[in-house]
Amino acid sequence: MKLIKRLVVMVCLLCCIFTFTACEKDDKIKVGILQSATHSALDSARLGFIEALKNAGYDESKITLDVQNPEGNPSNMQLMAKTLVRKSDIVLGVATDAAVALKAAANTEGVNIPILFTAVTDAVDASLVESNEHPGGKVTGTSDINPVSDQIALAKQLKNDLKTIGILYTISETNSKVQADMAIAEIKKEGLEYIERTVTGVTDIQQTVKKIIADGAEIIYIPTDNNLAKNIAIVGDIANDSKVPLICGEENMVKAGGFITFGVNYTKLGEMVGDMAVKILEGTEPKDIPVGTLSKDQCNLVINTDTLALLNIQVPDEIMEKATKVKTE
Amino acid sequence: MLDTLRFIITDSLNLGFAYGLLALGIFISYRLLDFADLTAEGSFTLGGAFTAALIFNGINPILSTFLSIFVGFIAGIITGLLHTKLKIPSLLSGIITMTALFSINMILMGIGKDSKYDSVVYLSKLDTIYELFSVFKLRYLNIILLNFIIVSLVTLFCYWLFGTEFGMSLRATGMNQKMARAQGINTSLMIIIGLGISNALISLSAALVAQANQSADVNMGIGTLVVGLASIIIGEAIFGKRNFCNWIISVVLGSVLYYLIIDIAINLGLDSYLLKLLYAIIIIIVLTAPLIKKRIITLKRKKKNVEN
Repeated sequence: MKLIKRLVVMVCLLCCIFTFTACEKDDKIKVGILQSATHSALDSARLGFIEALKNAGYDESKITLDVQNPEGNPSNMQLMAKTLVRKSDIVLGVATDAAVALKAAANTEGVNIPILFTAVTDAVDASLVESNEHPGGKVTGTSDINPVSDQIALAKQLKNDLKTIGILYTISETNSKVQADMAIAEIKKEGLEYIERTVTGVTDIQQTVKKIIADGAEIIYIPTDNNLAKNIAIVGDIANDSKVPLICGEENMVKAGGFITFGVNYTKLGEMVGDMAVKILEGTEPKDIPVGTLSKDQCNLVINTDTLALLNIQVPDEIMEKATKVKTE
Repeated sequence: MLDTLRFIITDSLNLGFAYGLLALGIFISYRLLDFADLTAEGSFTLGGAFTAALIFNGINPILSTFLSIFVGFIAGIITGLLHTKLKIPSLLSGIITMTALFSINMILMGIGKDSKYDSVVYLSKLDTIYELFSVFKLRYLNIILLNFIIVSLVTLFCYWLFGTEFGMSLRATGMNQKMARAQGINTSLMIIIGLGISNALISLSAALVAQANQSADVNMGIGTLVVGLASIIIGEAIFGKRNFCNWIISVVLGSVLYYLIIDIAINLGLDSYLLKLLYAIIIIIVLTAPLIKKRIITLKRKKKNVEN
């Protein structure tokens, strides 16, 4: 009896909460965004998406945005994904795990809304789309696959007598591994040596960087790795002390203490998926929109002049001319 | 509004039952054995990774889910052996197993793929137990029903088990190890088997979660210990622990309640950076509720006394 009484009280409480927060019904388009964690590159992609919608005339008077961020907590991610697919007319998943969670939630709930993704490295491998050219289902988006071959070419330009490139990434991040494998293939093609080292978290970064330098890496390549992006300052300190340049996967890593990148501009990547959203809202089916990637001239060459001063190396003039120069933030 | 309410309830049942098994597992180690077992975060991922890897390689989902119980059991036994036979302190032996399991999980998820290891397995193109068990058209209803059946069976089993002579000895070991040993109970064996059962349930919980989410990844265990402990504490505070039957059901319902709280917080439409603050406040309210109730009762009594 007591239990039933308590349950009744709880249900009443719940009802009270919802009469206070009952969502107003309107005819605005509901756009849901699920971002897997707070991270400068992912933030840029999200803002780019919102910006592109705004530029196409979909501003606050026409759409309501619902941004959810579980900060990497897997079970909260499931709850948020479910809430979003039910409430929204169109959803965006920022990063692979968020996109996968949205797709699974839509499947579980039996909801058939368009799902967009951005900052996903390999959408086919993650079973999001059937193929990059013909997505097939209700899912499409933009991929942040890096111009890895150009990044490795950059390494050769920086050092003429280059022999060994170190590759550093976090072992639990599939996206990084895909890029690392591409880099290794490219390095082999160039006839160079490589040293591949992985970290598991934050605590072993220092030792691993020291080890890779001691083993003879003359340049270190870091793909778009979430863990290392957050802790790039640790890598930068050690590498700059040993005068080893860091080639990073994306711009924000350079700003945080890396050296140089030729990589994906996440704001542009977000804008691209925003344009897709506009197309879908205006009637195109997601299955007819191929997965987008940035072309070479949409990528950014960014160099950190603070790090350059520390490294004390000669950078070819053509790179210096083309590059956007930033300082450590 | 009613829709939102219905969805909140189905969501919290959906996750609450699956994570209820986790709460039961942690309940066995933390409450019954009085052993702070950190293996949980590793064995949770182990269960998910193992089941997903088996399904990925074409093994029957039902068999895979069933087998996940055994790998969890083995993980628990290892922690137990480290603690009782090698005399490693309890916290540390849990940490050691958890750390080792990270590598094991990476290897498991690489099975049947090009590389030796991987950090994630996707199941969205494959059949899981929920596809095999489709009573309703909507997948989430199937998940709720099947999870409810499994969690009920497991709770019944636990109730029976901890009422047997073996179960009583195990609980005695947790209450007072020296006294239990004086009664002729093999306390080392009790700790080893107890941790085995605890981690078996945690692993089974993850097997269900991975199949419901259609993916398993190496980070899925992060924060599970907090979820389990919070569920136990919330359940005890709200539903009580008058006797063992009541206690064990409270733990499972605590998990449902935990997700109910989180889901309400998400649905309130707060900015996501504020969510954690809200969780903390709600948990404080839940935990202090019994205390406040006691105060009110004593106040009433005092009034009566004054009137008399």
